[in-house]
Amino acid sequence: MLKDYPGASTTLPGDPAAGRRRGVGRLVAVGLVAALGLAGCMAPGPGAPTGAAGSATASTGLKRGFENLLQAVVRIDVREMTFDAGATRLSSGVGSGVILSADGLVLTNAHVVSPRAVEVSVTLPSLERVGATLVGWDHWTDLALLRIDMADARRRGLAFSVARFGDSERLAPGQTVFAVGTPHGLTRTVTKGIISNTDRYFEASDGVRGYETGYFSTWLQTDAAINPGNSGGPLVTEDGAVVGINSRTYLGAENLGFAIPSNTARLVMQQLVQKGEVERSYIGLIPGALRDLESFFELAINTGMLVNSVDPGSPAARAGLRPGDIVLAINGEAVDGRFPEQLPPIQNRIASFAVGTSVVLSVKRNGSTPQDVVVVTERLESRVGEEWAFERWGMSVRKVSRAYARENRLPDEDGVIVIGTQPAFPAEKAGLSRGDIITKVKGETVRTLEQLKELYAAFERAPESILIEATRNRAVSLVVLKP
Amino acid sequence: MVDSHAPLGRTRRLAWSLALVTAVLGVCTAHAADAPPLDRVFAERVRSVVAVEYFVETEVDRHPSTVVGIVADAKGLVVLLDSAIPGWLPPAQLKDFVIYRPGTSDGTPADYLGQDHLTGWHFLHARGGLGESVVPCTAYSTAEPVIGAEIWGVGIMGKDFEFQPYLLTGHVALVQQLPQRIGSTVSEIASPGAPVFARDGALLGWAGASNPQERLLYLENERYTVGLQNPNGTGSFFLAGEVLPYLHRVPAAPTGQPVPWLGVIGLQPVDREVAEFLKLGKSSAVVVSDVIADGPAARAGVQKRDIIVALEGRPLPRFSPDRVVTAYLEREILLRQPGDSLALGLLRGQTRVDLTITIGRQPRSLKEADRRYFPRLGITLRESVLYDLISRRMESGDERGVVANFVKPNTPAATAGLQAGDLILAIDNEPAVDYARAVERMDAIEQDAARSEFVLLISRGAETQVIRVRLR
Repeated sequence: MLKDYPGASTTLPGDPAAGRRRGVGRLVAVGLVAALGLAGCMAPGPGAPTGAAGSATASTGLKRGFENLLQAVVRIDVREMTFDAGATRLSSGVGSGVILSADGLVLTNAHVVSPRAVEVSVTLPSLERVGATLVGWDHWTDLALLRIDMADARRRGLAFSVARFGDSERLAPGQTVFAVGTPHGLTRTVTKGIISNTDRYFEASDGVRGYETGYFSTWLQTDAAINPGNSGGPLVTEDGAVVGINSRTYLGAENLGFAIPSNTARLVMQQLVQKGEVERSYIGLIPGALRDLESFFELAINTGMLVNSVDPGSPAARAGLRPGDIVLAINGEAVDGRFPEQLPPIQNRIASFAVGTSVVLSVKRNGSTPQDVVVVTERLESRVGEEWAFERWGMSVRKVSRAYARENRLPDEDGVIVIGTQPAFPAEKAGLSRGDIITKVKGETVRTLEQLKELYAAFERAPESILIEATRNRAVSLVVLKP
Repeated sequence: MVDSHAPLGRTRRLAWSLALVTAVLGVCTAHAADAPPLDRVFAERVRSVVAVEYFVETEVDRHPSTVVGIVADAKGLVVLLDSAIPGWLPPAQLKDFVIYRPGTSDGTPADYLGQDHLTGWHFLHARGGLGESVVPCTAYSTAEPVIGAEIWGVGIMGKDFEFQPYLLTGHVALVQQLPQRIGSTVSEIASPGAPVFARDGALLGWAGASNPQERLLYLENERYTVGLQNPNGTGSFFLAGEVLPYLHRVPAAPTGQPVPWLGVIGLQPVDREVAEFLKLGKSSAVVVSDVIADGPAARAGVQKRDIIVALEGRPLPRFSPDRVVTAYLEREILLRQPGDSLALGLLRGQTRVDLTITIGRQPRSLKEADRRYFPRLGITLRESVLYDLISRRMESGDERGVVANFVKPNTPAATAGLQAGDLILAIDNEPAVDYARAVERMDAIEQDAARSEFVLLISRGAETQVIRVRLR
């Protein structure tokens, strides 16, 4: 079953970031399963009711709200490019989504639809299928936003409802919730459970198909059955209000499902609509829970955030912050990072500053009086750089990112990482393999992916032997790539 | 024996399966008809073979090992292969060496003299000698192996069989230069560490560790490629000419010997295509991946990414496989002494650069590093050596620390998350820059029964972490 759970590690061997995964270790993304072809057996739902619940009794109001919700949940079929085989390949999968605006915005998971998608189609509750495009994605919260091809939908007279967000802050453990989606390709499956925990801490540096996730929000936990294919579908209350987007499950366990809280989803969705992305600030502090360390650091309980690690070369490092420092306040506002669950909101507070903002941190070191440190934020970037495949070389690569370079203590951000080779193609024959970093081609330092694409284009026009410099761990090798 | 630093992507192949056969027109060994009966020669030559038992002592347990060695002189000097003892273990953890003559159960206690940096061989001295019944390997005439000639070697059984010697026979199949000259037979010819002889009793060589043999494994319709290694028998041996001249290289002490050193990181061979690309003709080259700042190579002007093409004015020879050139170069360095000069011809981009390095002395190695075990805390602190910093890419930074070399399972430190291999940067907020000071600090914690906690700042992978160890 494991292979049907995308979102399992795609880190490169020996990648130190693999050790960075914290919290619940075996939470995996669900979604994108191969369709089982059973969807057609399901009976079509009733006609779409209106969203308004102006009924006489509470129970009919609940019923209408829930029926409305059911008419807003879609199945998503995706075909996307993959680069890891040393070539461009297509893979396909199935997930779920929920329609959240009358003009056809569909919220789903980032691990269901990513920028690598080449074809996205949405199956409406009426079982009609319509195309959709990606508006934007945010792997940090595992959310992606699609827009249904409304021109086509109108032309064909396709109807659907619009779901509404509920307030995830008001959820309580024990409260009844439903998960709606396409588990294992079984379209419009409703499962029932309760909220098991409202504040589950989990972050992983490779949680969404090798991309980081969970650093800026905690998760809702539910025992409503969530299986592969449920991903991107809504977690709703009895009245049909969307309180979460189902996303993950615990591998090998039963009834441990996890969803992104609607209050996070709502904000992310707003930004994706406005800008197509969520821009965040980064300063390079990796926090740790202060629990039980207060007396050692001479702190009052519920005060401060422990700096566990400072990313080399980051704004915090340049400002002189060190591991073991305690951040007492951010811009004068006190910080409480006693428990792991409290860390994502603090991270989110820092991330929410506009890029380039000067942030004043009140920092205590070694029992000294707190001092103000000014840190200018930089743009948060993923450690996963842009990917590409060079077909005739039989090699796929990923650009070395700033985060990857820092994490691996590389001297600079030059080079591309080999993420796949095809047997008996020039790259493999030359001796290149997954994990190697190509630093020079034909004597030129590889600074951008574009540069390598140009060199490749020249090779395609006039194939010739090319000298390549590659590093593996600390060893530099020269190889010749022959046509 | 084959250099293990394969170039990018090249799979390691079996020594005997490699292409170039260096046919040696050696001295023909005596005809079998003229030779004395094999059982008699065998009984005589077995007197040069010994079994050695020793223990590796760790913080919490002892592991026994039994290996085979050769007698190198009449006073009780015994030589073991590089692979007989893990090279990274500090000699203080090697305990209770006992030398047994084959077929006996009364052993002679021995002292560990150390490991030679050139050959990697380990030297032992039997306390009070090994008596009249042993014969040093140096006592025999030597011969060159000839392809197809019948040869034999000594196998040694386990301790429960009182190290009974047994005869192994075969034919010379191949002789290669890797860069030392190594002979091979198709089947096992000796226990690793035992000598190999010609039919008439002339010494042909010394059996090395066995190479993994490539095999296909079929399991329920699945096919796997596996490497199988026989720990008790080997088909390859160093020729006598690669052994006898080095048997006198007994270290003066188990640690602290001056080892020649250039201060370069990651010497990488180039393959034939690259050599052609660099217009090297029939010679080979080695890439210097990086240089240690202020090391001997850096001081002489060597830069990272320089390509070594010549040594003492001579182009680097080409071997099969290409990667053997790295072992060749490393051996050439180790054959010299700290303070000696070494002339290198380098290719830097398109330019040829010639310079002379004054060979330096290798900084403390892993096995020479000071360490101390704190039994109550269950932690061994070890001073960090250059190797620790290089493997963490920290040699040019200013972060320093001591290494948690061992963490006893289920102790407070282990429960708190400390792992063996973590670099400890600070103990109770005090930077652990100086090993002696860090030990003092840890000792104070170890002695203080009233203490309730201590806090470590550790570095693991790319991140640091504050760890609180709760003692009570």
